[in-house]
Amino acid sequence: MKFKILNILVAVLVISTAIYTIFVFIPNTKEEVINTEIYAVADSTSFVEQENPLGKSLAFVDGNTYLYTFSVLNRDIPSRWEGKEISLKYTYLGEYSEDTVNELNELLLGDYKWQRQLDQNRNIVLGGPIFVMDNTYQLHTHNGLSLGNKHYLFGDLLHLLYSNGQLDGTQIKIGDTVLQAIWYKDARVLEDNRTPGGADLIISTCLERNGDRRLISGWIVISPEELQ
Amino acid sequence: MQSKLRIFASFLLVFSLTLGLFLTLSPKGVEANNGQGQGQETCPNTGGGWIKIDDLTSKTYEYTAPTGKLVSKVCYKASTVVTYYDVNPPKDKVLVESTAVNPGGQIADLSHASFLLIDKPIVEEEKHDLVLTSMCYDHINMVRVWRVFHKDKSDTYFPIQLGYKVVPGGINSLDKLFGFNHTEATRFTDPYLFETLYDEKPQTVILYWWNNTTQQWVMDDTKAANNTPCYCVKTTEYIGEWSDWTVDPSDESRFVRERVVSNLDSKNSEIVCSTEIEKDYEERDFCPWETATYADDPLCLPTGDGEDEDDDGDVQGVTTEVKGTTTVVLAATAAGDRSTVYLIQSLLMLVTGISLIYVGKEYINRV
Repeated sequence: MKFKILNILVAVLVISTAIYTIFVFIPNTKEEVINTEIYAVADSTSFVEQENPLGKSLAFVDGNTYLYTFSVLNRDIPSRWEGKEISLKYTYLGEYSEDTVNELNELLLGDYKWQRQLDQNRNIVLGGPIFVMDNTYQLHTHNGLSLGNKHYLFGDLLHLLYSNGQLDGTQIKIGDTVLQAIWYKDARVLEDNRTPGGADLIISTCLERNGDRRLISGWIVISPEELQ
Repeated sequence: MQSKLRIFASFLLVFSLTLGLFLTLSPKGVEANNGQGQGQETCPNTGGGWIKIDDLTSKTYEYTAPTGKLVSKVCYKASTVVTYYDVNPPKDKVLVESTAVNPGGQIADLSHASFLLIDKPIVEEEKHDLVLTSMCYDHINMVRVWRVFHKDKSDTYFPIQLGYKVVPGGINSLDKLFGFNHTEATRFTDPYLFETLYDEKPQTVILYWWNNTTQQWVMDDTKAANNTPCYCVKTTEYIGEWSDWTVDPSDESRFVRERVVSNLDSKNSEIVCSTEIEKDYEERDFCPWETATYADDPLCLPTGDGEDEDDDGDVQGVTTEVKGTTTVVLAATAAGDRSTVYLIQSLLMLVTGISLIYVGKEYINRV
């Protein structure tokens, strides 16, 4: 009788382990490869002309996904990232509406799930959905809270620069467009979701796993003359 | 008889003395003395600085001193007359002309001549190799600044008279400089600067120096003016005080305040390179309209014609202004934490493994 109960217990353990492995462990630890082949930079003639200068230099057509080369011009990237090519992939959701937050979160948990950090060549693909609100673009991107030591996420990079006091003034290059951080804000957005003015692009990433604390940074497009 | 003889002897003595005195003081006598001889005396022989040329047969003779020597005194003999004269200033070439007259009334030929030679003084020839540099332009005083220095120390440091020409103009004199020893090594610590007119056009300047020997300007370095401003190459930002908040005349829904941000020359803070007005905005509160309370309050913006209205404009911020403020949405941007997953998986595997081993052992014991 005792042996029978023991057998049942062992069977339950084996089945539980199998179920956990299949439905929890594998999905959470499997490195998913980002498909980068189907995306291309849109022809400039198809750009939506906006007063925001970012709308003139990057492609923004509703529902389209774009992939650009990415680099940090005046700051060091995490040492773990060195030697890898970096790209930025984004999907443009259009003008902000009531449904935008749902679309945003679907994409962040789907196409832009945080496990998708590298492409098939093991190069880094940063990214997230972008929409426009008040003529300012907003990019929402994942943060693994590892400061780039474990993860290859845009949020990790921003979090690292923020932690080092280097975020303000950081220059990044997306395609041929150079952007510079002009402000940042560490805010609990359920309490205060207002941003300072003047930015062409706002990038938001989380600063805690279960909460509303976000690192929000404002970026402006700078011309080659300003860059010199 | 004896007294006559004495008188005659006295007269002869007086006459001889008078004649001797006359001959001594007369020019010919002086010349003869200079020649240390009379009658058949000759000019000094070679030696002691003298060079003697004998056997002359013409009325003139041109003598050229050896290299490094100059003739300072000449002696010549023509007929029976020896003549000395000084050459002042000493020359390296002299022409001796006979002035002696022979008994026939003709100018006598020279028989010989001697020349007293002295060393030629070593005189450094004036020469300059100057470097002209365009420094900058001063748009406030409308001048261009130029700098001059000797190319290297091998250059001569005469008192120098400088001049310049702004092409295509004439030469303008600059200062006469004494002890002008500015070289490239000292160009920063002790520069010699001069100015030309700045007219916002390209300019080329030629530098000259005055050669005292040839009495001519000598053209030296030529340079085109550069486009470097004398001021405001580096600036220091000076931020003024904010003004008081006032209602923005262009938008009554906000306050505005201003301050002047000036960029001052880093070296001379009295020079203002540029100024700009920086503005700061703040939203005005929407107030319930109560005429009695707010009619004269410029800081309170009525929301209508005295009617209360809901204040629903502050959630999304300013939405009409380009690149104004906005709000961010709450998106699920937190990545998962895999450490818990790994921990649970490890525990499950461990317990399952131990259980299997235990059950296997029990099964073997039973069999």
